[in-house]
Amino acid sequence: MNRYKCLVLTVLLFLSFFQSAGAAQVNEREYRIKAAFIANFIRYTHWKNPPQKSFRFCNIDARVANIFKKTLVKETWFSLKTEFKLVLNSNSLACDILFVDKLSAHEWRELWSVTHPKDLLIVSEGRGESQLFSHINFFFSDNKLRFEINPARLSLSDLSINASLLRLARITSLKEDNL
Amino acid sequence: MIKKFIHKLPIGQKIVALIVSVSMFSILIAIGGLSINEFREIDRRMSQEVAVISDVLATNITAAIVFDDKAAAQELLNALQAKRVVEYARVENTQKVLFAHYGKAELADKELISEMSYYTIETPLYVEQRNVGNLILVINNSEINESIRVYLTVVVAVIFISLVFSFLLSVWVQRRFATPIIELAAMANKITKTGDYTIRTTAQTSGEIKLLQDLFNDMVAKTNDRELALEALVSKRTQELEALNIQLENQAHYDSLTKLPNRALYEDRLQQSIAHAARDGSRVALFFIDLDKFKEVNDTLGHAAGDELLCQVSRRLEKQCRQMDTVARIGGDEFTMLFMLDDELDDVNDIARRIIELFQIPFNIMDKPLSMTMSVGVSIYPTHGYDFDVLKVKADEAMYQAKQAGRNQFLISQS
Repeated sequence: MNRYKCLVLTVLLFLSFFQSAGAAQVNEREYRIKAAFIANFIRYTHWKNPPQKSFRFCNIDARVANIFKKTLVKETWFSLKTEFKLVLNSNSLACDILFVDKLSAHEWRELWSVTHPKDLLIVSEGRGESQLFSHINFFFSDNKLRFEINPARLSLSDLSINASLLRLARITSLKEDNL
Repeated sequence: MIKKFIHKLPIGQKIVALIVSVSMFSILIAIGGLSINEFREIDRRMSQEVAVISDVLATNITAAIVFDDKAAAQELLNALQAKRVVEYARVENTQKVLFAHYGKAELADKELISEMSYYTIETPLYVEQRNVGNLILVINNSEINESIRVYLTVVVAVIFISLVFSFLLSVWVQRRFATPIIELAAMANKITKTGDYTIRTTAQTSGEIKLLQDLFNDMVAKTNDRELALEALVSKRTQELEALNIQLENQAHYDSLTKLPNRALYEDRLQQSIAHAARDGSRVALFFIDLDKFKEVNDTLGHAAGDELLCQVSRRLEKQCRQMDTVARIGGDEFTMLFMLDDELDDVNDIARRIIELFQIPFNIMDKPLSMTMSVGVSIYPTHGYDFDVLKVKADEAMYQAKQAGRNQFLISQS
């Protein structure tokens, strides 16, 4: 029994290792690019109440957070030290930017469909999510990474984005039931 | 040279030249200043426009580079089609790799740019002090050149119009002011040459020129009046002098009491008569007349009566003379007469007898009758001599002989 358990565990561990290693390998390149995009989003975004002590970069998924941290470790914004944080729930949400990966999005979608957090830039990566809860949302077009921006939601969160960035983005609006 | 030339010009042309020159100088100064300002303004506007284009484009292109959006960058560059000043635009990353470009690709060659007199503006693209690439704009000057061409066309038109206007103005000024002065000068010249002070200038003028014209006319009128007055005075003085000369001549040649020629004139006429007779072979009779006992008249009736008698004697003797003959008083109660004799008609004895008979009628002296006789001595040229003095002496001797013979008679010289 013990041997069987050990074998099963080993197989599961092996499978999970290969599964996770493969997923990370696929995602890392994509998320490195997204990290670079996000770094520039921050540069083109204006916070009504800018961060004072450190810039808090929050993620929900630890793996994504890890890639972002590795990619952006040398980046600074507002001449502040960057603090990479993992967010577990909305109660401990002390962030300046939050990246909501597509797997985590469903947990937050309902929360922010009706409320608009102030001074928090939310970046997502699921189809149509800028209409639902995020300010900036990644999408792929012709195998190229693009993004869409919801200016109305930005305004509700006391944020604004440089027109140069808007020019590059697809502009979305709030869904009527979000208003 | 120019100064000499200007000095030689008449006043009208001087005025035209002066006004046109001043106008042109002012216009050129003004246009020069405005042109410099305009060229600087065009250049400034151009630079400003290019700077604005560059800045706006750089801001937007920076985002496109940052997000590696070539399509967006190209779209932004394509918007330069509306800007004629930009011939070529190029966006490159920090490795100088072309990211997007617009316009004539051959203008990427810097040598060609300099050959075509274009210029390049290079704008570094920054995101938070981090250089992400460069925006290079190739600018042509065609718009500046076009603006300058239009401006210069306007300037040339303005200069031409101003020149025409200033010329017309100067001609008007010349006619208004110079012509009356020229007329005055011509009139003064004519007056100087002809001496005719009745000439007047009649040009239609006003203001100071009219005043000058009026003063000039007044001056000429006064000069004319003075000239006429002077002429009248000179004429009067001349007449007085002539009268004085006549008087002096009379005094020199005529007896002041009887108005008969005096001894000097008598001697002169005697010589002339002798000369005349010598030329045409005629004769001259010389009569010496002395009143008988004239002294008694003076002594008894007074000198006034004596003078009156002498005058009446003179008138009677004059009546016996023709135009070519002469009667003269040569002193006291002595008279002499010259007769140009015509051989065929004139007989000396008849003439002498007629003269003696003249005295047979008494004179009226102070309302009283007075009888007076005379003694006459006669000599004849050339019978009694050819010489003037000889003839006088012989006539005088004959007259004394007549006195001695009893007075109231005549005697022709016997020698």
